[in-house]
Amino acid sequence: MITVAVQKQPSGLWALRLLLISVTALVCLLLPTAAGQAKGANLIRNGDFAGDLSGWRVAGGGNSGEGFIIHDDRAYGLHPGSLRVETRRQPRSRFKARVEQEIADLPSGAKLRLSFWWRKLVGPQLKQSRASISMYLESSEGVKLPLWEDKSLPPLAGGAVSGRQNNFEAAPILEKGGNYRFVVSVDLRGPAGELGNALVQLDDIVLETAKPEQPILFAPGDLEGREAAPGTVDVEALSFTAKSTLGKDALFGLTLVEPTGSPSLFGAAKLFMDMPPLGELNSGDRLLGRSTNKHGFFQFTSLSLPLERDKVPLLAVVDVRAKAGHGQGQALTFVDYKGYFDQTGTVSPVFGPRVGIDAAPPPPATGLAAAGGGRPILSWTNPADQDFYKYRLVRKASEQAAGPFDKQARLVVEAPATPGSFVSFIDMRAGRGRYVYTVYTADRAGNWQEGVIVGGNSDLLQID
Amino acid sequence: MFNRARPRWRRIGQGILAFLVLLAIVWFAYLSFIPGRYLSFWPDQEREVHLEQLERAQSAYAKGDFPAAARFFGRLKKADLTKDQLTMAGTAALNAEKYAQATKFLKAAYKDVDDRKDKAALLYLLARAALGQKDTAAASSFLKYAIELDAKEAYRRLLGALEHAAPGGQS
Repeated sequence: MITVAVQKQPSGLWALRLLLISVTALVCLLLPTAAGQAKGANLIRNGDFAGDLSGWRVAGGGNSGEGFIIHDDRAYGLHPGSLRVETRRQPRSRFKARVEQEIADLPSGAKLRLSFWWRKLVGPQLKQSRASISMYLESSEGVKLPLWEDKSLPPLAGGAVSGRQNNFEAAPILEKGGNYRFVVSVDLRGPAGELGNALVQLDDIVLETAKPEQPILFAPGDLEGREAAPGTVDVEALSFTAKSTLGKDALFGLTLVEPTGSPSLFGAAKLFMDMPPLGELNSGDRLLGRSTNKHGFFQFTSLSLPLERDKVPLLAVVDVRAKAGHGQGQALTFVDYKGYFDQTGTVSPVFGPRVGIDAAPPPPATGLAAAGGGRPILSWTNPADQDFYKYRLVRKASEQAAGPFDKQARLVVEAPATPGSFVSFIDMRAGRGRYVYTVYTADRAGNWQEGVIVGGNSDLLQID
Repeated sequence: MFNRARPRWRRIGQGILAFLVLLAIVWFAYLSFIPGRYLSFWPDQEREVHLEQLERAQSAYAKGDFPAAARFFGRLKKADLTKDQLTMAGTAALNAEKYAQATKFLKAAYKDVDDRKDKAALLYLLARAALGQKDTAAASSFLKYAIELDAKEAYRRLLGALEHAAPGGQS
C-alpha cells in the first residue's frame, strides 16, 4: 500500500538528520561564547578603557580563561568610566580582576568624593557563589586607603542587585599627599562544580578630589605644651573660641595629624566634639550630639591629649561638618585662640573656615524667563559673584512665594552651580494654571537672597 | 528504498526547514537562559536598557545634576525620546555646556512641538547654545524668530545685547 510506503522512513536518513541537528545545536552553543572570549581577551591585551578614566588597565592575574573582562559596547558601552566583568561557565574556583588608574600629586588634606553605579547579576545555578567589589587608593608605599567595599551575597537562585553610590565622601581627609593608584577590584568565586553565569558591572565611576584651602599658619610660640609624665606631653587647654553659622546637628571636630601622615600616632586621631556641652576629651574620644542654636557660639574650653614627646603633631586639622540641610561647615571663624604645644604647630582648617562671619547673601539671579505653552521651560543666569553657591527654583500657584522655603510653594529644583552660569530647566510637574516662578540664591554659609525682582529672579507664566 | 510519493526536492526542503526551525529554537533558548546579555535582536532587553538609562538621566536631571543627566541622555537615541524628554536632554546638555549635544536635542524637540510659545522657548535655548559655540549670527536669527512667536522680555533683552555687542552695533 502506498500509504505505508510513504510513512516508512529509512533509518539511515533519520540518523543523518539527527546528526546534523546535534552538530548545529553544538555550534550554536559554542559560537557566542567563543566570540565573547576572544573579545575579552583582546581587551585585556589592549587594556584600553576608553573615556575620562584613560589609562585604565588590567593589572594582570585576572583572566583565567573562565572569566573575562569586556567593555560592554552595546548597553552601556563606549563611554567614560565603564567596567564590566563577566564570567561564564565559571566558577570552578575563583576569578579576580583589577583595574587601576594613577593619580598624581594628591594634596594632603584633600577631600575625596566617589560616585558610581554598580550591578551584580547572577544566574539561577549559582547559589553558593559570591561576588564582591572593592575600591581603594593605594599609596606608592603600598598603604591601602579603602574607599568602598561591597561583600553582599548575590541573590539566591539568580537575579540582579544594583545600586548607585552617589557622590559620597569616600574618605574625609587624605592625611598624606602624594602619588596614589585608584584601584577597582572585583572578586568572583564559587564552589567546585557550580556552573553558571555571573556578571559584575560598574559604570560612571567618578573620583573627585577637592584641594584643601590654604591653611592658617600660626606663629612660633602659639602652640605650647608641658610635660605631664615621662615621655608624654599633655596638651592642655588647646583652647580657642569659634563662631559659626552651623545649624542644628552640626559636628565640630579637631583632627591632629603627625608630620609623616601616618595614622598610627593617635590611632583614631580624629576628635569630634559636640557643642554644647564641652568638656575634657581624651585621645580617640568621639562625641556626637546636637547643637541647639543657629548662628551658635561654640567654644573649646580644654582638650587633653596624651602625646608621645617625640611625635608631637605639626599639623592640626580642624574639620567642621554639618549634616545635609542643617547649614554648612564653611563659615567658621577663629575669634580667639590659645593653644599649648611644646613646639610650633600649624593649624589647617581643611574645609575652608574663613575669617569673618559671612552673613550677607549673594546677589539674586537675573533674566528668569518662564516660557512655553505646554510645559514650562525656565531659564535664568546665576549671579557672577563668587559668594554664590546654589540656587533654589520654586513655583507657587497664582502668587509670589513668600521666600525660598514658603510651605505653599513647590520646589522645582535646587542644586549648586558655578557663579555666572546659565541654567535652563523644564518643569515636568506643572499642569495647567497660572504660576509664579522664583529663583533664590544662597552662599555656602546658608545665607539666602530673599529679595524678589520681577523680570529678574521672578516671572509669571500662564499654562492653558 | 526511497519514497517516490514525495519528490526529492521536497524532502530536501523539509529537511532544511526543520533544520532552520530547530536552529532558531536552540538559539533563542540559549539567549533566554543567559542573564544580562543585550543583543540587538532581543528587543525587550534593549527596551529595558533604554528605560534604565532614561530613568537614571531623569533622576539626575531632577536633582539638578546636569553633567550626569547630559551624559546619560547622550547615550539615548533621539528617536526613542518624547518631545519633553528631548527638551530635558537639550537643557541638561546646555547647562553642562555641551553645546553641540544641546543643539542636537533642542532641534529634535523643536521639530516635535506645535505650540508657538514652546517653539519660542526652544529657539531661545538654541540661541544660548549657539552663543556657547560663539555663533552670534545663528543666535541672532534664532532670537528674532523666537520674538516673532512670543515676545518675551528675556528674548528681546538678549537680542538687544547681541546687537549692541556686534561690530557697528545696530541698536
